Amino acid sequence: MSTPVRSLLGSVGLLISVTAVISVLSLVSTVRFQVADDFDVRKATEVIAHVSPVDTDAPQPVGAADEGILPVQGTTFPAQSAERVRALSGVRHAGVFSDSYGQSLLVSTSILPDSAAPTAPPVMVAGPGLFEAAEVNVHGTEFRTELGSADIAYLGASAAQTLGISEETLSNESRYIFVSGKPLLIAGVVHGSGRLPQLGGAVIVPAETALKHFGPPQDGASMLVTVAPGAAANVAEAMPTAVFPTTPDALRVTPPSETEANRRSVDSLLVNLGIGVAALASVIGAASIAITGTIGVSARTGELGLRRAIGGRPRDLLKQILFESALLGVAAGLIGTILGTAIVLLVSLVQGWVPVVSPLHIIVVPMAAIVVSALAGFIPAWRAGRIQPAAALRN
Amino acid sequence: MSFNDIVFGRLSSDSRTAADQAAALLRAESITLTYDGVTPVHALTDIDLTVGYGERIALIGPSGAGKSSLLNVLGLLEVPSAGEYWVDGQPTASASEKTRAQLRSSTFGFIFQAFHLLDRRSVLENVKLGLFFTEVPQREWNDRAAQALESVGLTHRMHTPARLLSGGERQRAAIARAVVHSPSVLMADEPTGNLDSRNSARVLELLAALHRDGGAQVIVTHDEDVAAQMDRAIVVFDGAVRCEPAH
Ligand SMILES: Nc1ncnc2c1ncn2[C@@H]1O[C@H](COP(=O)(O)OP(=O)(O)OP(=O)(O)O)[C@@H](O)[C@H]1O
Ligand SMILES: [Mg+2]
Repeated sequence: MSTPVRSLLGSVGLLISVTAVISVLSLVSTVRFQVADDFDVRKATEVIAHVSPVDTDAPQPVGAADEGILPVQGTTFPAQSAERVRALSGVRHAGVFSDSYGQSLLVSTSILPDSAAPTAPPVMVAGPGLFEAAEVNVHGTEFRTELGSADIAYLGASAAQTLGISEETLSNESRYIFVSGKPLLIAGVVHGSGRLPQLGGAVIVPAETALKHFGPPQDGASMLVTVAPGAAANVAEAMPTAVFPTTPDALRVTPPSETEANRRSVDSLLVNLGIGVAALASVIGAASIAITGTIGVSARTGELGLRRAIGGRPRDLLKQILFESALLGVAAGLIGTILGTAIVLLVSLVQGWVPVVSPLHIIVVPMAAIVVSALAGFIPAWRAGRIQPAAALRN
Repeated sequence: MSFNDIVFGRLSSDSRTAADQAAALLRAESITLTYDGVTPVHALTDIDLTVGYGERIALIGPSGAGKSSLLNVLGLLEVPSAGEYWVDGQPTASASEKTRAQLRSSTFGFIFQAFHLLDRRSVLENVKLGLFFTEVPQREWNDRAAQALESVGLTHRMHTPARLLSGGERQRAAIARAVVHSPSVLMADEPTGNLDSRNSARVLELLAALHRDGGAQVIVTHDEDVAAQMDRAIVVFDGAVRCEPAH
């Protein structure tokens, strides 16, 4: 077999490896991108916990009263639980809410209770931090206060519309909303569906205000927690003890979305697949370069011996073979990258995917091919350096 | 005519002086070459030899006598196991491979029985290879190679791939490569061994012409006629110089 044909075969091994690495890595990115695309990022960064009202017939856990299981903020969450949850690592915002008052409270824009519209919006209660957690915008009036215990209320944007109260009116005059006959100053309008779309259609009463006037919500309360990406599982695990240090079972945490877990396992599978293929390809590429290079050196013993005879040092031969190996790496790296990218584009076209080809791969993989082939070239190069000119030139 | 006739015929006409000896181009003293192996081969034993500037020497002797081994030692392709060898007054036996490689490229030109051309390269490129490790600046390579090819009559084949050449042409291309850097001494191991008589004659003519331009030649040959053309013939027998003239 002639030398160029052999070298070509050697680089074909590396070329196929490069093609495989580029196409697998890019397909992995592409598939990961599709999965991520289908997947609601919002859901992956939130945790919702529920506390049901204390069942007074059930045996009370020892020390429960000290820990404040009894309603404090108008919900069944202990005081300061949102703060404690906020202190967990990965948590961005946390706020208590409850919509369990439902229609049981009469909402009216007039002091006269019988003027209540049949379509009156329901009442929701919101603890400190809920608006931030729900990612809504509050357009407040100058009377706007924090979600404390003042006699105020906020209107969801569509609730405001239903009640015929515009923001313009609010900025010009103080308006009250009557909840079960209790006048609450309208402190602002809540915009955006955010993470709790039901806020838009509700009259939102601060949790403490609600507790003061209407008692605890009948069906318990929930806490909305937003977390950093990837932190949901840890936060969900840590929350019960943060809220109820001695009776963590009292908190029911909605586990982080199933999709998230699936995505993670698919993701790590794909990443491992990519790493595996890259490692295997490096070994195969290196072996093919080393083997064909070594065969090439023994086939070219005469030429290499001649180079020694005309003044080439062992080091010159070593450099020559290393250079040739690296050159094969360049060729294989470039062609393989082009082929691999073409495969990704083709597969994406057929599958209807958005192809994701990372520029990093396009740069790093051919570089790696050059490095691998140069390193593999050390084996034939070392052999070339050991060629004895006299023996090589013997007929 | 026997080998002995040649040798002793030349003996009487040997007129070199001690001063010539001191200024010898190549001087070997008590050279021994042993090939290591399961059974070590003593290819050369205790060889003394000098080659003067511009001198033409034939190495003759039966097959397996050690002619090629001696040529390889003289051409710095093989390191002697014992003894000392001077090239242009410089001791080489314990010189570094770098020094030896440098001396090879500056002092020697090699012609082999098997030509050793790079088949896929053009004739010109093959000849230029002879300058690859020399100090000749690269911009002069083309001119030097073209000149060398002209001197062997291969100008018209300059751009032909070496594999397309005939045997005689191949050896002439190899000679051009061996002399392209104007070496002080041309080493040839049976340069006509693979050629027919017509091509052999042409190669010998070339060698003679090159010698007229200056430069020593050490030529291993089986051919008595070739040996007869040399200044001196040295008979190698069983790893020793049989008939080196006494001084
Ligand atoms: N690399 C080697 N290893 C072991 N033995 C060797 C080696 N090279 C040569 N020999 C042996 O050394 C001896 C001299 O060989 P050399 O090639 O110098 O002979 P020669 O005179 O050139 O013979 P020929 O005329 O056949 O070319 C022979 O016995 C040969 O077998
Ligand atoms: Mg020989």
